[in-house]
Amino acid sequence: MVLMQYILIILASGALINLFFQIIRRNIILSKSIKWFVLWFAVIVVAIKPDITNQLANIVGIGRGADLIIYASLIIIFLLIFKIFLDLNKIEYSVSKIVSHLAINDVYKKIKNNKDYE
Amino acid sequence: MSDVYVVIPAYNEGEVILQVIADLKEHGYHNIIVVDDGSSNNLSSLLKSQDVILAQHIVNQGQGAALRTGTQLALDLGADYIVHFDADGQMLASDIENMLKLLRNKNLDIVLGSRFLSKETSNKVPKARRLLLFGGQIFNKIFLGVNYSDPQNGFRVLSRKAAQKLNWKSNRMAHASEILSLIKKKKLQYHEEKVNIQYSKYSLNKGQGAKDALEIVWDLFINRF
Repeated sequence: MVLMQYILIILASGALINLFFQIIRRNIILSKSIKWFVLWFAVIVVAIKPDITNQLANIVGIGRGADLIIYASLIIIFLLIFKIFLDLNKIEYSVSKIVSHLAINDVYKKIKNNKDYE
Repeated sequence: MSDVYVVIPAYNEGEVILQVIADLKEHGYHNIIVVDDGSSNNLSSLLKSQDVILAQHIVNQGQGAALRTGTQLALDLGADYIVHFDADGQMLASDIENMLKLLRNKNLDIVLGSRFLSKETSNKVPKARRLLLFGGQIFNKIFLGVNYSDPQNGFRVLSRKAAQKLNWKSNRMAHASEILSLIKKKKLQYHEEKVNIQYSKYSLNKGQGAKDALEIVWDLFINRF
């Protein structure tokens, strides 16, 4: 095994242990943690047996395992960015609701004050 | 006309808005809601002496959001009819009466102003903008399935029912197209009516360009999810 494999195994194991403690402390819901479990576990498997990626790559018709990983990462990154856009949009809408609510409440206060004054 | 409320979204508007308000009052519209959309100029002090209802966004949210605030406020205050009106002096208060009449007499839910129903007014629109708006019309036709002659016109008269049903989500310029597609979705009775337009250097500078068109497309896309 080369040095890179050891590094990957240590990093992924660390992430898995961290995830485990997060679940125990209930910082993260079990159902949401499954995808991270799968991801880090896959990293460990690939680090121990890199040939697996070549076999997978051959199945989907891509020449090398390393290429497959890069393609897959690109797709995942695009999806994540899109998800961030959607979340931002939701937050923007929530912010505008709050701003609108504040503005309307202020008007009510002014109307009430004017009535009291009269 | 105590049941008619005029909603004017305003962002960094200058003294033109005073003329707009005066024009509205001259035509008998006294319930005027100005939504100051987090302006960084002296808009609020400009309006202090005016007899209008001033709602203030503490941070800038965009025209769609400002219209949402104004429309909600008008509904809360008991409006039966709500007019969406621009602050830049392009629209004429004299057009409102005709639109209101149509809404009442024909039992419609919403009347939309259009600059492109008469040659005289459509020729006033600068060529580049006409082309851009034509693009918008085609886009709406293909992607939203609606066909309106003036997709980005902010001049609307809404019944109370329409105002309650149209819950657009776009904070920015895309609200105009979104409202059009919501009219179809909510099966509201609508009519497009020709309105006058009065361009000035000021209002042309405030208008939208090609960059805004891209933003509108993006906003429409992302609000679908």
